[in-house]
Amino acid sequence: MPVVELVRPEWGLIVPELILLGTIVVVLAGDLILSRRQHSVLTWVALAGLALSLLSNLTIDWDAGRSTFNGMFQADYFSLFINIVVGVAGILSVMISSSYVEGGEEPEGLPWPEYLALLLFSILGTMLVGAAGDLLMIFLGIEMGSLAVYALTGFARRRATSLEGALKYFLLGAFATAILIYGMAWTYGATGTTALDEIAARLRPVITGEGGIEASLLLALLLLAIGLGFKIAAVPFHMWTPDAYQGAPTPVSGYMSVVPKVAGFAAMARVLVQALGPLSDSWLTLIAILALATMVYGNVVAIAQRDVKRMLGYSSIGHTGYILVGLAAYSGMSADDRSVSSVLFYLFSYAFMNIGAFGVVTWLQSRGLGVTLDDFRGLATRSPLAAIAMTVFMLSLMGLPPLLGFYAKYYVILAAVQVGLIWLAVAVVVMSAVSAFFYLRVVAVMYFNEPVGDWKTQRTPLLGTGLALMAIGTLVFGLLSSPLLDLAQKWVQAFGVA
Amino acid sequence: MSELTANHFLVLSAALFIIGMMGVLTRRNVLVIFMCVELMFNAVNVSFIGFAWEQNSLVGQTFALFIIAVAAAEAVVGLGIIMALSRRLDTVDIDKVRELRE
Amino acid sequence: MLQGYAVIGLMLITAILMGSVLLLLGRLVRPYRPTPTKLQPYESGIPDVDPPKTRYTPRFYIVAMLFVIFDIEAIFLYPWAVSFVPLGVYGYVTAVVFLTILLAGLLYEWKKGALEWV
Repeated sequence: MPVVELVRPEWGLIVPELILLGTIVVVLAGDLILSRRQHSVLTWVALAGLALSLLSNLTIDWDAGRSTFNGMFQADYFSLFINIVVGVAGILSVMISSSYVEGGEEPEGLPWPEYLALLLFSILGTMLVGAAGDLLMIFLGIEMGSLAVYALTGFARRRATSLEGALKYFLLGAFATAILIYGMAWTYGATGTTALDEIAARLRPVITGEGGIEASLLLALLLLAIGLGFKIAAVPFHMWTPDAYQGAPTPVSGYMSVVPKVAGFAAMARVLVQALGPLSDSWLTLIAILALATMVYGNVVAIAQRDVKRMLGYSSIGHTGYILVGLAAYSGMSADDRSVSSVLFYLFSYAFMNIGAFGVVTWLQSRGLGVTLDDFRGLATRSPLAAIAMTVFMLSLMGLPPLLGFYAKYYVILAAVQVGLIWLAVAVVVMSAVSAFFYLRVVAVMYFNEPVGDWKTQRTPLLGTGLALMAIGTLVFGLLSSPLLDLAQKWVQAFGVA
Repeated sequence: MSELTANHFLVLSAALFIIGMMGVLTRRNVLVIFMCVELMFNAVNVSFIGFAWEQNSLVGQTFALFIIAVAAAEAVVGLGIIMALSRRLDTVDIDKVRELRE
Repeated sequence: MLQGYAVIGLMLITAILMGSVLLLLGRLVRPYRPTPTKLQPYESGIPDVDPPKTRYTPRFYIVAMLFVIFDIEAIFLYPWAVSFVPLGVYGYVTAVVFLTILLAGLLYEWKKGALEWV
């Protein structure tokens, strides 16, 4: 029998993932060994692990853009940026979760170590999607992330609404996964490979050929776009979003508005741009239409919501639309193409603004209030700092300069204008104006109404620190956006290596 | 017709996939919806095996193995959620599970 | 390009038609005459006394779900078994690592009390 030549993996390239995996093992072991009272130690373990994983990105030579595990795993600038976004989002999510989960905001309380382990697993899955070099890795990463988030959504299992949100999220998520992998099967059938670079290489001659594109390839493209459209909650595949956001424990809603979305967009960039880039003529119009429908629907329906969590759910659909505009501006792997970089930068800023907004809702809940607009009445007199933080997040989500959200939208619009998608750029501006209606309403209620309901004093230092960090980040990173954008711009280098 | 070709696999797979999809869209029982999703997963497996057979490569078979494993993990998470919900609400009818509203 | 999409559109229309025609046909053709006897869960047996919820403990479900997981993970051993000789020591070590991870999962379940039969 012939001896198979096995390529030894380069473990050095997956250090951030390995550190995170080690953290998960420690958290799970801590769950078994420590007593219930000692569980809060694990908060610091998780935060340290995430920080270490972020720092370990420095040990890798990203310029080389190397891949390992037979091309399954790519360590390039795209994966670096995704690592940074989800690492930061992970740290912020742990900070806003600890008081809510440990403080018993849900009936009968929630087990904190399991919550942490699921959160970290989902982050690990998203990092794997960012670094995927093969359709198989994209599938596994997305599933690893989604399965953990389904469980987190239904984590408050004594509350029927939490389970209902989880059920709807799960059924539509699994349905989407089935469509996604059917698309992968057809891609494999049409090109004979599942490696992303290889797919692109085999498609290039097809495009220049005479006969046009085969129907099987278009079917694959359509199925992949629909499957991923469900994951990022693009209209008309968004049905699960409002229910899941409203039902989930509040910090989980904040988390799942960011990290699973990052996974979805990372997969979209890897699949549509890196692998199916040569087919871009066939998918650009599709994405542009999805973008328009998504942002109009999300922003218009958000106006009617009284429940702030549900309102933020619809607003996150709107933001998905803005991010899709960035993707629709793809014009080719040239150094001045800003499409994927504007998507990456938007995801980064979205992490700060949206986890922050849900963090303030968590802050209110831990002080005995609810999650409707009325509970925000008079927050400015009760807790001026929380009101300021919420104002910053709302204005930033709206896109007011010089906050982070403004720059995110600005770069997306810039990318769209660069390729002549003026109508989409105009739509982004108009929809931002529409969104002012429901974002400013929250601000107005906080400052101009009298407080109602009972306010119970509560100390939540970690949550407070997290909110402060996010508010400062929203204020500062906007002004420091150009180095970040330069880093994101290196996606061309990452995807261009064939 | 006597010769087995990749088309046979693909037609079977497409039929299974569409049956599963219609089931998801028309059935009201949560468990049946979930079984239809599993059917879709397995339809995809048939596609992968068919393509792998046609191209004489192992990639498709490997992919199918991973899909089976992930489907099992998905089934466990899903059944956990369904079980918890049915014990709380005493129903598996998707139309009766609607407390979350505007 | 449009022609390609037209083919897919045709396929989708066919699929939807096929599905709805089959459903409709079933509804039109099948007789629907419910009688009280027919609606019983067991047409020829002892009817349920209690709702089934009270009869089973959740242990059954948990054990079943754990079984599904561990049963399916075994499929990763088949490819290894098929190419055991060519993969050599490296393959063996990899498989042992995989099994160790599974074992760790089992230990976690055990310590969590999921395997206790109360």
